[in-house]
Amino acid sequence: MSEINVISRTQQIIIDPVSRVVSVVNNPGKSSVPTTGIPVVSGLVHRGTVATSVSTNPNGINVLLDPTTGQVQKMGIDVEIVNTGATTYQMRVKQTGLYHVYGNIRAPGTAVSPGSLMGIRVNGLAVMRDTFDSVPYASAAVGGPLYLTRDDLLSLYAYTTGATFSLDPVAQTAIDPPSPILSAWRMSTVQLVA
Amino acid sequence: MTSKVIVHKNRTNVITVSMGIDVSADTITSEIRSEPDIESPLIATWDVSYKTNGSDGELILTLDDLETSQIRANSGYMDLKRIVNGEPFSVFDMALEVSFRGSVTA
Repeated sequence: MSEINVISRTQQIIIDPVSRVVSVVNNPGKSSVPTTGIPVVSGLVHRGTVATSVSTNPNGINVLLDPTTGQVQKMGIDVEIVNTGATTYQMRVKQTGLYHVYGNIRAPGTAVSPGSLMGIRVNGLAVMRDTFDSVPYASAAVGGPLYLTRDDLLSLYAYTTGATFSLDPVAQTAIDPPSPILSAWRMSTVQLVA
Repeated sequence: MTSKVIVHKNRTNVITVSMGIDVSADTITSEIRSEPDIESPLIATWDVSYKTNGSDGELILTLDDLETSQIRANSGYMDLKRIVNGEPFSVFDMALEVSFRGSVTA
């Protein structure tokens, strides 16, 4: 018996605000998949907890996580967390396949300049992005399916058009799920276990 | 990760563009030509509009089905022209490839 696959394709041309690199992305947009409750299929995922600190610089916002506490949102058996103690939050793909990736930054009670945005890069190219919601509860999230190959590098980034962007690390620890989050699950092979 | 821009013939096509900068005071135009050259034959012209007012850098490109039904080519190239204070600026480093696909249902 034959099977008909219906593909709902949308396309978006994304220009990275920092590097100005242009990407044509298929099926972009916010994900409806929550940060917990990923459909169970098989495999194993370790779920971390809290990202504890962030900082800003004039050219954008570098997300800092605290690797000493283990309070890092890390997911995915087929990706490895790299460079968590430095100025960016990155993951490297260990196995080629179709992934669901998700990024989220929230700044409760924070004023964010209009046009400030965040997103996910793959090997330096912006493939998903979102602008922050209006004040006072600034938040932004992106997610969706991506076909990734071994050694692709995922990174979470944020960018502000003004000087008013500030993420309060104390407030970050008080929300559930915590933020910032960068996660990736290889589809059909993972299971949320903790 | 970058793909070709897909345009379906005989259909209305809509693509969003995230410029990442405020373009509310700018004029944006976009054309598809057979080669990445301004002298090559014009295939189609995108209708460019703001998603809101352009301050968020979000654009919507639309090709009406009346226009795509006239397309005979199978491929082409497109870019964006951003006019600021009368000066035309490039948006892309190089033209994007466009693939035209046929439709079946009349």
